[in-house]
Amino acid sequence: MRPVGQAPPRPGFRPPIPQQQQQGQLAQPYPGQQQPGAQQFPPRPTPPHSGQQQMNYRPMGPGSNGPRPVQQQGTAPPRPMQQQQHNQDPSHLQQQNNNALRRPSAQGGQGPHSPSNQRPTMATPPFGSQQQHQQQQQRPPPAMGGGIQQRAASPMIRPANLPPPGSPGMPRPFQSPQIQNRPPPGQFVTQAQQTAPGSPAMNPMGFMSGPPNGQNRSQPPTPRMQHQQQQQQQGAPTSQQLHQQHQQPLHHQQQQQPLHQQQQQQHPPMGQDLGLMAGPPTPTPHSGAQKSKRMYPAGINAYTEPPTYEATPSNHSFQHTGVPAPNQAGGMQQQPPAQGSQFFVPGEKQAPTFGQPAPAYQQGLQPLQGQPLQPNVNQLAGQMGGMNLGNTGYGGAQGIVPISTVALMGTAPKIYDLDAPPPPIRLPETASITQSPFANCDPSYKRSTLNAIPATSQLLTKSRLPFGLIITPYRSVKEGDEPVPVVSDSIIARCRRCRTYINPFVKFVEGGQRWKCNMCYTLNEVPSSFDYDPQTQRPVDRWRRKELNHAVVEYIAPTEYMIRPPQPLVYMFVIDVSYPAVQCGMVATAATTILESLDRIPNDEGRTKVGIITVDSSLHFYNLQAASGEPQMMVVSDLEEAFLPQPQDLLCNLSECRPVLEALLNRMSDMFKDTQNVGNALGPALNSAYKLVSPIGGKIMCLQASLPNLEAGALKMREDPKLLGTAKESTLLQSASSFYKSLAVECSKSQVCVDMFLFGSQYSDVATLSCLPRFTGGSTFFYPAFTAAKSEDALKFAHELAEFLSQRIALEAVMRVRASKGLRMSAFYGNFFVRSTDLLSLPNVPRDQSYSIEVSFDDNLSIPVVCFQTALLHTSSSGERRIRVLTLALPVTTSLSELYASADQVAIATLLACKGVERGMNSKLDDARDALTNKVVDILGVYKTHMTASSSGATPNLQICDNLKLLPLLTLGMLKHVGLRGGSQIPSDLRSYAMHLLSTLPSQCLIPFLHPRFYSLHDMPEHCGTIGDHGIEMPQTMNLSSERLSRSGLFMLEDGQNIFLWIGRDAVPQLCMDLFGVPDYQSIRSGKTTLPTLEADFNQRVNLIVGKAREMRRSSYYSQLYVVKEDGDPALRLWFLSHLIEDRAEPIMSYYQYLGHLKDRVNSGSF
Amino acid sequence: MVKTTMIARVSDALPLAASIDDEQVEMELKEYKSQAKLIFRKLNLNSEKRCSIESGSYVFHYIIDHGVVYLCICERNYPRKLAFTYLDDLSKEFFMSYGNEIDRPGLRPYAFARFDTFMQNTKRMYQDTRTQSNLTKLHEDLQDVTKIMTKNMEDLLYRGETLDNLQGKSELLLRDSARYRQTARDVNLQALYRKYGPPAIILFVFLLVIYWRFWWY
Repeated sequence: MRPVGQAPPRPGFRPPIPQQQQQGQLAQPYPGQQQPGAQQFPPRPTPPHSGQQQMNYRPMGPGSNGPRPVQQQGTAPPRPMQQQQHNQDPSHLQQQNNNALRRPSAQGGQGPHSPSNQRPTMATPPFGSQQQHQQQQQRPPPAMGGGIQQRAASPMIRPANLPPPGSPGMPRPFQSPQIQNRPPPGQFVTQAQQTAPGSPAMNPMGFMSGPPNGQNRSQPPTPRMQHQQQQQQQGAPTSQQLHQQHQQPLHHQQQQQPLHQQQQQQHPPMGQDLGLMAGPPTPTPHSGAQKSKRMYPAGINAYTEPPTYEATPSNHSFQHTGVPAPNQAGGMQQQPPAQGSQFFVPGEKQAPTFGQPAPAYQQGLQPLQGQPLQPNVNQLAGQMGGMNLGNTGYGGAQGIVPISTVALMGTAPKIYDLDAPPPPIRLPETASITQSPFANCDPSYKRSTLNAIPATSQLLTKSRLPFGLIITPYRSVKEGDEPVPVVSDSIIARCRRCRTYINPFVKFVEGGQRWKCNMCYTLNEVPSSFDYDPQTQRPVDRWRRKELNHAVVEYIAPTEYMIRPPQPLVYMFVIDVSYPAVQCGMVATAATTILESLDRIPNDEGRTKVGIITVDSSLHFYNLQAASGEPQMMVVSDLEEAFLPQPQDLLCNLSECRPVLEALLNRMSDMFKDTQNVGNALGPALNSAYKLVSPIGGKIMCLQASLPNLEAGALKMREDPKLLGTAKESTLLQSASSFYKSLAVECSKSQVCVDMFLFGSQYSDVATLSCLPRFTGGSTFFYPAFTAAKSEDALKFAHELAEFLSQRIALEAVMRVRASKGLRMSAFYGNFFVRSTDLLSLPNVPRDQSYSIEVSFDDNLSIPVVCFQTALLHTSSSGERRIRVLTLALPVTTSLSELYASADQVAIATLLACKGVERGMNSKLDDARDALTNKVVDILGVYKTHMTASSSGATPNLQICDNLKLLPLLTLGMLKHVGLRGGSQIPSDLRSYAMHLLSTLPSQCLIPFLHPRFYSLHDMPEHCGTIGDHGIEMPQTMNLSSERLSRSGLFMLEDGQNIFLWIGRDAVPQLCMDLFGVPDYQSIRSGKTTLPTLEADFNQRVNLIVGKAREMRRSSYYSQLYVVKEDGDPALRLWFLSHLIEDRAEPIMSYYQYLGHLKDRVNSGSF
Repeated sequence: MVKTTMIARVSDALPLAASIDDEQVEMELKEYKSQAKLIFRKLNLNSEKRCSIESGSYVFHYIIDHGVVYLCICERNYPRKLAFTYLDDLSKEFFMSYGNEIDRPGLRPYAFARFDTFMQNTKRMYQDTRTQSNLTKLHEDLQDVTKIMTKNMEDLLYRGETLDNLQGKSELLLRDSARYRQTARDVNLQALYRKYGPPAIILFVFLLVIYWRFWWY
């Protein structure tokens, strides 16, 4: 039974495939739509089609619908009453089934299949009933008529789009046994079985044209079936006439037969479930023998098989196919749910959210309909069976994942695949209770390095693949993105043991009264408000709940999740006004930008607070609530014990103090323009700011253009060119002062986040100052050699600051990742403070910051699906306490090949970058680079040993699976990246900043950062740079190799932070004219530039492309544009060329050399 | 002075707004704030509209107005009159600003957190008891504070407990008395047997003898 298809699928999720629509029309969802008394039956959707229709949200193709019904039964929640009824009804029901199914030869077979849990009293009725049954069979017409009418009149009969009424002994629980034992049900069965082998007998009825589907055919008619056919030949004509005489409801019955028949045929594969649940069909030879001896008249024995055949052959025949349960049992299992859902047509009309499970569940809601409850037992059985099935051979069930090996050497890397989606997550069909397309987490929020989880830690160790999660919980939502659904009724269902939030991968059990946690398998009560809305006093459909349909949801948290009222946004600016800062124009630019961004600062509730401290050798506070309307400046020059003058007025409400604030910002650039003060007391200023902000919590934005040199937190110029490129270089990358670290811990405790905007004409010790953002969930921005006189510099800073101020950040957040039993989060990378073992404290959560978490094994996994759930409890910038929950479910595998086939190179590169940075900071950069290369060698080596034919010995080529083929390239990109590259040319500031970016950028931005995008602009096709179907069309990306450069060409290279326009020395004057508006190549100015806007078409296109390159990713960074001339500034040229990572750049190898090196290491077995 | 202010809905103790306090106050008042939440939970629409509750070195003053309870925690020496004037000010402003939204279903906690701004400003006005305006307020008979009941936190907290105890005891009593009654009946019955038993048996034997005699003869 597949309720999915019964209900009209919701329009939102039905792919608009014409074929399906057509089927939908044919399916005739409701009885009212069918013409009563119509003699011509509309062609029924054949079973596979109906399957297709039901499978709207399934990734798998229609061919796989064999085993599915059972699994889906499994998902349907069984009902609590079922046990009771199971004990009462089924005696008849099953008995009847047995009778009906094998009437012709049934004598011996009943014993074996009667459920072992029948009450002893049940033992007697079957005899009588069967006898009666046999007698009636000899005069079928009248009895059958009665039976059919009975059926027709019964409310159970529903239109054909319902799942077939199953079968044979479709039990009507409130009927007397006499009625139940009438032949008609049996008649149907025989018909069904008869048609199964493709008998033409069905065709007159107009049910099936052509042979039944493959599954039917695949099962050869058994001798038993032949008997049935014979018998049918005798009895059927009359019955068919009768059928045709009957009116409409009967038609339904008939129409359902093809479906029904198909389902019967489907049983063999699923019978396993029943077998697993109820144990193998234990034949009870004792009772069976007794029965056969006593009951059957000789005449009937004549065409029955010997009892032994009956008792065992079904077993035998199915054991062939590896399925323990007999057909009949499958039939029983199959049929009742269908029946059940027939009852609940009203429920179906409510169009259950994602179809499939809802009707079954509604079944559970309305237990008074008098429908036999046994199905639910079987559903449970199916559920169990499904789990076991998935466990024993998930790969087998889904088919072995194809793994294609590619050779790396000799070809240029296929860089288009950098943007390819991660390998598909091949979850079992029933993993999610709703078939929602959003049931699993989008990779932009959370992705795993392995999209199939190894079942044992040994397997993981063997594969040498890194195992971790890349989480970007608070990524920005651009236009076109799906906003995060919000659960606003503050009903939060969580597991009482492991505190997991309810998600699309839990299971409902006991008729939907409880849910089973998918992490720890504890049973939890389902909140009553899932089904009933106390406010409107109406039942609600739980399948519509967003948390059951979406993997990414936000809850509005109730009071229990607050220890205090949600904090307002607080922005505290600490601005350096010492001589270097004023001199480079930072103060003026910052003041103007803040002034212009005041409207963009989130201030939904009018609670946002703002304060400003300026600092040189003394601290300047500003009273923004002065009655005069003029800002009042207070200077505190006692740095040792800096006190706060008028602490009430220093931080004030943005809406209230707006005029005063504007006056202050307007004046700020003038106030300090003549300063000669070169002192900077950042430490005391940060302490004061912390004191001001800490009662509430919030953001301290620190704009620093000189090295702090007074009091606590004073830093020394420690850059030593002699150290660069040596093993001691990493000391420069570590924090020089413990002051910032301890302040960061304090800040983290009181929900204060510090962001650093660093401007350095000289050394500014990014390594030390970026400590504060690292532990408080902040961000660092670095502008080397900043001068506001260069409009590009000012523009970049202004743009980034304005973006940053207008970000709708999250406040006072904590994040925890839970995983299924057996897995543990072992290492964390990113900007946060780890509070307890696995609780990440994030005073602020900026948009688009990524966190990498390494996962390790506690125990081997014995479950088919593993779940990772990230919960981010935060206060939104509109003052709401919310919980964002991200759930990612991944299959478990035992096969190394599947593990490799599902590895995600982008996520692996992101995780490796984080680990490399960590290593580089804490030990040596050399170690970090070696570790990266070793990792790749390990992976390639294991792949070679276990996955390719040449397991040992030298091979001429390197081989790796298709989905990891770019890993060596990305690793090379890391080795050549500013953050990790060897050599003594890279200032430690730049390196620190690059390291910060490497560990916080989300994958989307990190990959271009490692492997820049390279375009050729002079010969790009016409449509590039114009606005096409998907926004601005970009040219094709090229491999990062200087052999692509041509002397007359124009090339663009961008890595998300910078954009380079490379122009060859033989560029034609027309190009210079069109693009830069200058007559020839010589007149082009190299360096930081803004492209002029000209009339020329080419200029406009390039401008559009540059604009697109700045906006196409989720980040608040604004790429700086550099024009690089082929014979221009050598430093700039070298910088540009260092991005071409496939080239040889001393002392690091070219891509092909690197591959050769890897190959040698792999061949020498040194992994 | 007023240390902190909290506003909640009476019907379900849903917090609507609260002042944001600095860390020091937060630390000091941690325990008292949880007591305040307890008070919110105990209040219902039939509770006294104005009340002061003493607890330790602080006093809770609250008023209930239009289904909303306004509570402030003050130091003991802070004039009650001023505290209640402050709460009155708050209630007027709050009802004016958000009066029609209070009973909206599905209201999230601290939905009116932005009222904090007003609270901070008002609180500042009432900070110093010796300012002229506050002295005026003190002397004017705006508030008839004498009629406002003063309770003790202990009483309030433990009242429920005593009631529970009482109930337990009375139940015990009830059970005991039922048992006594049963025993008494048994004892009575025994006494009855003892009193009339022997004569009845004798009579019975006698009658039997008589009966036999008639049977035989």
